[in-house]
Amino acid sequence: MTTQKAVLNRPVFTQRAFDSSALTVLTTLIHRFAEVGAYDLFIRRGERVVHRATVNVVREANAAHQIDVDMASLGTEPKGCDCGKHAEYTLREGGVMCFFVSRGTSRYSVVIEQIGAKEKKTLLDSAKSIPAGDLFAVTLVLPGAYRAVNTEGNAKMLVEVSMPAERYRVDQPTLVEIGRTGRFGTRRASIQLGQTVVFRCGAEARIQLELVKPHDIIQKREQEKPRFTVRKPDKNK
Amino acid sequence: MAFTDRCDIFGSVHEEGINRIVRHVMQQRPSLFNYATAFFLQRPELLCERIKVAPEVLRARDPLFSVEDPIPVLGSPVPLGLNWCLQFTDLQIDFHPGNVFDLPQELGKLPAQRLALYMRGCFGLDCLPERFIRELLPRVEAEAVAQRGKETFGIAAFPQGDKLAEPIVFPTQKLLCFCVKLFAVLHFEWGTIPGSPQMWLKVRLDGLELVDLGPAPLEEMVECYIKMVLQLGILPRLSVPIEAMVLNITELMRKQGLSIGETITLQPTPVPAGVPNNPAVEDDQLKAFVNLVVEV
Amino acid sequence: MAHFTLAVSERTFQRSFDLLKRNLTFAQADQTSFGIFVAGYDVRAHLEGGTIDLRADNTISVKELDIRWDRLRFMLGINIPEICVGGGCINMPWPIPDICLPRVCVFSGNPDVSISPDLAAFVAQEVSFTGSVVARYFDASLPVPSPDPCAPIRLEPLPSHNQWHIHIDPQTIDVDLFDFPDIAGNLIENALSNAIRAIIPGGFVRDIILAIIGGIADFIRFLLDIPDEIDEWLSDLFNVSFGLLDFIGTLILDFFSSCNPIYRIDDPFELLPARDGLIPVRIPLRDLSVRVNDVEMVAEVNIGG
Repeated sequence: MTTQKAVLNRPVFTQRAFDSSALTVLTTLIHRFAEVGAYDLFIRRGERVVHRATVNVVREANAAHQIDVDMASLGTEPKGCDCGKHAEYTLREGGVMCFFVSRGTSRYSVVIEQIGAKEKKTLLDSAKSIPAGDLFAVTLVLPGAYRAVNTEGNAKMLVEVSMPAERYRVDQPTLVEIGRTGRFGTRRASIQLGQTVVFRCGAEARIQLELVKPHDIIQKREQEKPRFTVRKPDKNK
Repeated sequence: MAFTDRCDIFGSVHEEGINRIVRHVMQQRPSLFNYATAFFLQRPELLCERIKVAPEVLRARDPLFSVEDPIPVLGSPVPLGLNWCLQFTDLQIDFHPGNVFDLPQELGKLPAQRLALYMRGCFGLDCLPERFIRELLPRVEAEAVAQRGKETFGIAAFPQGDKLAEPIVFPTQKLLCFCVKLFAVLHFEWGTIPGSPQMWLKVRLDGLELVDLGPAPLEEMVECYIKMVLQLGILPRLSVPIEAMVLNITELMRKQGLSIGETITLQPTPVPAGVPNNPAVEDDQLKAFVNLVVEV
Repeated sequence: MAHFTLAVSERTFQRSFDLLKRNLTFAQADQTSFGIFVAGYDVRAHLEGGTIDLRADNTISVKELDIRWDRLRFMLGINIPEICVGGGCINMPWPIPDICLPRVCVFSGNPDVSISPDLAAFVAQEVSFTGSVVARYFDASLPVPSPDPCAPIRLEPLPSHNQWHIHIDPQTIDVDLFDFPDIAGNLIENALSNAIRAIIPGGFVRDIILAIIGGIADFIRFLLDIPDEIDEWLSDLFNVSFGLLDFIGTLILDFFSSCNPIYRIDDPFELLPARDGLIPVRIPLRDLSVRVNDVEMVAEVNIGG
């Protein structure tokens, strides 16, 4: 057996705030393509488009009903984009594309435009908002209390992330509905760390989460961190 | 009293055991004890003594005797050979006290710590009938005349040359046989052998007697010869290494994959400090007393 | 009076026993892949202590013979599977298919950990047994009993010809067959825990990862597919998977089983081998017997007529 060292995916443990308008590690945006047709897909890292593709939504039953796109793996070429390459995805009618970020600290946004006969119609521009029918998922790794806000609906809720008392499964997401008024379907949701809370948008939404009260283990450990003080040399001396 | 009261390992063999082994060997390997010319392959019934063999020897068609060359008729200008045979018909051992066979008066009573050996042997030689000699004589005389003036060869050897190498051997009708009984007194002793690190059990000859052979000088001469054969020919071959008597410890260890960092030897138990006699020939047995010596 | 007699004193047994203890060493190494993990061992052992005693009731007794391990290095290498968060599927209203969320993994790449603790100081075994020495005659012309109770443990096939067999018939055997004490199991578990802990950073990140994997102890059991205690698993690994300690079992249980003779001698015994087309000279052996008393072991045999 050859020894392989482990490299920690550090952003997983440092990300404390999440925003559907700036997709980061641990967030997933799920867009559903309800109609058959062709769509332009743009993925931006910051302001720069790093990936462009055509999404063909078809009726064929053998086409995929879900395509996962790890945005962290896009634009890894030296130029920082998949420039000149034309990617193409084929999806079944009613299928979804999941845009997520597996690593890194970059922020991404997704634009999807329907290529119509007359003019392009923007169905999704995540930097602005998430359309009704889409889903936004956040996996919360740091335990504590998170405040969730839908800025479009002026709604708030609390997501509590607890330390598990015993062996548990992380692959059990909790669904939170956002109603047509933009309100959250519940005022409080509880999950265990590493699990995901999924917001299903009944109306256009922009969702933000922020760790407002870290769990004791984080506070305690942070207090344990040694302090280093670096002083500039005194020129007078 | 235990066997090993005064030694580490004790081994003994009873005279009856040895004599039974000798009988088995004589009956299963008769060619070791019977020697004769090839003529007797077809007529074994003409040998001096009928050869007793085990049934498996007959089934395997093993030879009953070792084939030897005929005895030459000395001086004959025509190579002539006579059939003969030498058979050892009986061989027995008797450890002290003597009770298997009686020793001749010349050897007296078997002394303590001695063993006796009894062997009976028969020698047979063909004697050509007169009519064969008469038939052969003209040819022999012609050859003698033809060879006159040529290089002569000794009378004790056949003339050399391809044509004359095979002697003429007349078929035997009846062997002239005589049998003698040989008695010997022997003893065992431990000793070393040059080139071997271990002790060996050796057999030494104390006395020998041929019975009913005359005249006296002939008996003396034959006895002297047999003594030499025993002392210099047979008995040295019977020496047994001490490890073979009990077990070869080194070999045993090696087979078990053990590399022993110590020297293990078997040594005779010292006399008289350990035992009064070693090896001891007593109670109709040969007894060996051995000590295990481990040296780091 | 027997034709041949061989007697070995108890003193010689004791000295040979000491000699064996001083010189017998056992060394073996092996490694096997079990899919997600690789396990191996590198061992060396010798014998110590113990006594051998010839007893008046025709038995030999060996007591408290220690098998000492000079080296008992256990090697375990594990491919740590991905530790990930998230994932799972969301049930969507019909006819929309369920949506399954992607997972995000804590480490990039699959880390490996390996340990090789030396358990020599913690493992000791003791062997005691008592057995009587018996000689039995194997008659090849007789049918083998059916069912044959010895068939599963017989080391060598039955001969096609008659033989004398000397057996050590076990009366009591007490073999501590590599029953790992708790400390050895704990030692391995601790070494494995430390190795896994070493790849996990400190601070609250460790707390979180340990929470995700359910604690290192559970994680190890999960990795090695161990249902219960690690020491039982190790014992099985050594004894069953590797057969490492079969040698003790083979040496003692088989050696001292009534099914496997410790010494066999053909009857008839071949005195002179076949040579130059001549049949071998064979001597029939009769009445082979072995007996033990409190001072010596005596073997006797007669030559058949």
